[in-house]
Amino acid sequence: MDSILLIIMTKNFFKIALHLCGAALYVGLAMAQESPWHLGATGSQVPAPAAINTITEKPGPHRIVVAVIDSGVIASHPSLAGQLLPGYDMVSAAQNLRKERSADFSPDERGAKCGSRLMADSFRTHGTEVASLVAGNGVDGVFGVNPSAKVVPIRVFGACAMSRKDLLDAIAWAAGMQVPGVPANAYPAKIINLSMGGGSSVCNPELQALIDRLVQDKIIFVAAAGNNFQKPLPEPANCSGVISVGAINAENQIEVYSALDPRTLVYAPGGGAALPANAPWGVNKLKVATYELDFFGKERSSARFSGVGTSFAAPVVAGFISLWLSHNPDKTFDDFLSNKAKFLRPALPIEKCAQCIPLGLFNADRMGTP
Amino acid sequence: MKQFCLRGLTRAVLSLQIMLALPAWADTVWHCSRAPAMQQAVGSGPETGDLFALAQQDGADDVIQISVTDLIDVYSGVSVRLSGLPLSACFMPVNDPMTMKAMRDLGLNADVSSALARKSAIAKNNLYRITDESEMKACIKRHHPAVGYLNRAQVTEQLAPCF
Repeated sequence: MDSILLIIMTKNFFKIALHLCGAALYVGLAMAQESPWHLGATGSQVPAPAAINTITEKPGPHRIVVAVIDSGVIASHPSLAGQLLPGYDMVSAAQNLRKERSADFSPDERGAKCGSRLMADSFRTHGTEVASLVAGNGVDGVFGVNPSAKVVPIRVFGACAMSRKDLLDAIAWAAGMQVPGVPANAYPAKIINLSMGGGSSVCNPELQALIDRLVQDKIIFVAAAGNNFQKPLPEPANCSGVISVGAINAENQIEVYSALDPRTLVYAPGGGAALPANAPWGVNKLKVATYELDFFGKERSSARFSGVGTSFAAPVVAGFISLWLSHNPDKTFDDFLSNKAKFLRPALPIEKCAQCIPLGLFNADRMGTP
Repeated sequence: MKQFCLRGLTRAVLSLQIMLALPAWADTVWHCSRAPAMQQAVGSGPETGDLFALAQQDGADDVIQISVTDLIDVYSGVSVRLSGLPLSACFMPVNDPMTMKAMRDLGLNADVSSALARKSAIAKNNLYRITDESEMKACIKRHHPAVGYLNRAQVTEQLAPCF
């Protein structure tokens, strides 16, 4: 009897072992075949010149929370399963089609309209796409830079225009500060991603004061430089203490739509026109978790190489920093700046901006080393 | 050898012609249509200096909100919708220097967009070919919500820079 049991157990053990090996092999192969070009290459592949080289970087022991302040996130996307923490819809009642703030951080419905104001459907999925670049779990080949990070989604954009007050409240709440009428955030963020632009050409004093205070508290701000086709930085990228992120293509050239300003701290792959290169990175677009309409006009989740914009370069940097913080959770904005040699390398200069010294994001060493 | 040199020379002259055909101002400014000022948006909108968009530059609140991806899509013949309405795209002839620059910025082949515009008359894909820049503003206005390009930023009641 014992020997029969032993045989069954042994058989099962081998079966389980085979399954586990198979799963590991599958994941390994999937990583090798589908890992996004912007993270770097595996094996004998040639990496994209602008790849950030984090593909083999293992996350450290600390779980880092990244707040994505955006158009909301569609929580049911498979590439974000297990990656989201409770968030909040911070769009104030006057600008909110749902008429009030609430814990429902999902975006406005497709086709939503605010008076005569028209907004492209692409903005409905914007926050979901941004979140996937930070912490995508790998399902359907959507790998965030740091799948061990967790995202707190905070909605500030809907079909109506966004107000500065909502942005200030969203930042404060993300950092764990009290916002009147809103329950406390149980998961304060170490990193705040802002894939947005606008406001004033000079950072608003109230916004700057809030950022200054939170930078003191070791919170790191990452903001898109803006897709303003080579104009100066808008807010919040023009605020001091913020890591402003421009977009480069896979070949290290600044994308034509990216803001052009010597104050831009770092450039990261942001997607753009396809490149003639006969390599996986010739596509020059970032693979994101998104939603599209099927043949019957029904919205369904998908994973596509469609990310184009500084909106998508910023979460690449936010994910990168979260990976770094997962090893060294006490690092700050100043530490990032003092580690330029470790994290940044020259991107190609641009004639239109002689004062610009573009630096691309690059993991030159193991992040776990001090 | 002579033929080879001739070919090289022809190529060089052609390249030079293309370069000369692109004037120094060959930047294009993407323009978007504005909503008619009849309906008011929900609630009282923020002041212009307090407006933000998703990684775009600030602009008037009534300018249609589109992304760079939407631009690429619409000029590729892919349907783009804004609050349920189809986005239209206006563009000038393929050999116009501004068209060449605009399409190159988006990584598109102007010939493809032109062919799509010709088809547009049969199978509607919301691409409209116009003859020159003076027609661009009218096209953007007529096909609201619409996008097009001009050689410098202009703000009128009907259009404004998108980004």
